[in-house]
Amino acid sequence: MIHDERPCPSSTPAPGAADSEPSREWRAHIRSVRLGHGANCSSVGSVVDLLFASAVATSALLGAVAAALDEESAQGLRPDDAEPGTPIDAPNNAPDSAPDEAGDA
Amino acid sequence: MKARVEPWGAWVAVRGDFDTTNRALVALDRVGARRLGISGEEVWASDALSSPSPPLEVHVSVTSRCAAGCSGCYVDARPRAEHVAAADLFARVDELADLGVFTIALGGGEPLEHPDLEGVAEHARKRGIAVVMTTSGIGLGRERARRLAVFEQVNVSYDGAGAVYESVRGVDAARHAERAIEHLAEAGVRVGVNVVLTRTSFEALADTSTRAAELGAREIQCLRYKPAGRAKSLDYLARRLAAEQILDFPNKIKYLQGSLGARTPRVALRIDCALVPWLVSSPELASDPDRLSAAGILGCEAGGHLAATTSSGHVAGCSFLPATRARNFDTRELQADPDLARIRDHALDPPAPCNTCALQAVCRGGCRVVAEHLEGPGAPDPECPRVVMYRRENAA
Repeated sequence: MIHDERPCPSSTPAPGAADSEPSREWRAHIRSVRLGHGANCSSVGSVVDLLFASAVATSALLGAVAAALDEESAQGLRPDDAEPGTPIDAPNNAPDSAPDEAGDA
Repeated sequence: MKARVEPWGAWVAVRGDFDTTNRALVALDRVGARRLGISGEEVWASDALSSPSPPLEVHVSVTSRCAAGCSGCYVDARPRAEHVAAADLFARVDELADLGVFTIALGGGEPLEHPDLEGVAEHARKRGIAVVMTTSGIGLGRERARRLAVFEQVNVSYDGAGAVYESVRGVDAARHAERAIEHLAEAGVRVGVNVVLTRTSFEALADTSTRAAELGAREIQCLRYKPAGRAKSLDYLARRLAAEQILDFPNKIKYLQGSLGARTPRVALRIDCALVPWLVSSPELASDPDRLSAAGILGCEAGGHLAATTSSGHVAGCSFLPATRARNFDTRELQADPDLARIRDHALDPPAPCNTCALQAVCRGGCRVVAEHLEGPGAPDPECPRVVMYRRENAA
């Protein structure tokens, strides 16, 4: 379960992997990536692509995620497929544990 | 983009070309969330202990009706059972949207039997929720396949070709499933397959995956066979994987991931939460929980990241667990539920040997449905290789 402030272990680009400046900046803040839609209706599934991928492939995939985040950042927060007026970051969930400010710059 | 503030940062759903898929759910720390413009200061500044976060994914049963008659049906679906009223399903979608749930998976029974299936899916989509479904594919023609384009993905139950399928489900319907996969792919619907792993289907997994990919599937989801519904019988012991197959599981999926990833287009491989304990027999994974966590692998999240609603309108920890008395996601009522409390406690304070397992933080003590059926509440997952080895050593 994701509940701490550790960065994603694959946050350092692999040697040889193409990486832009924005991509590198995002990587430090990505803690976990769950790929896909999870279309099973009985148990929660996890794509294992990242689990067994080579360092270069993992780096490339994280680069794609970082690029998507950068694009979202450039466009600003907006509802996508949501009804007009739907709060984008709602609900603000109350914490289930005291937040660890150590990793919070 | 959809985002949800959490005590540690935020979950963010993004779109892009991610190799085998176009969607990713990303956990960002607070700095990253702020950089994206997400305002979570109220939550991040609070140090008060409170209720846990709502689920990321909820499985909604829309009907108990299904004519397939699979011998191992985990909800004991019947041909003449009732549908959930459309108004109740619309209200459920609204409740889950207000909670910030990212994905709803519609299931049954057979969801295709529900007359308002596409309407419910459309409503979920409008509320900003990724909506997906699982079907047997029986009776799914070209026209209906086109109407299912409202779903982000449709998974067809497909345990193998011909006799393999029949060995798992007790019905000869593999061709129906295969046609459904083809129709969905032709209609441009992203389609995946669910493969229940039994002693027989495990041996055919590579062939099944290849066949599904050739038919147009873009994702193979492996599911552990669980003793629930009609599968809750002595037959379970004969159908579940043999110990040596469980030990071979990490090798098998590593090989399969490589082979599916080499296809054009690439095909994703997914394992369900109940299979996570079996990763422990891999030396490269057994001591590296961070690797699993970073890859977004979730073990037993029943009542946590995962929840379900039954056709009777009750909330459950997952689709296999008994329903609670709660009819909505009011966290106080769910927090007080003794069954869910037992599952939460097990994950936080597991018995030996889980209490010394490096993967415990991700695995969370294995599948409670299997463990409680075979050995009762509080027992470790008896099919976990590490549990088997621990018991063998302590018996000697």
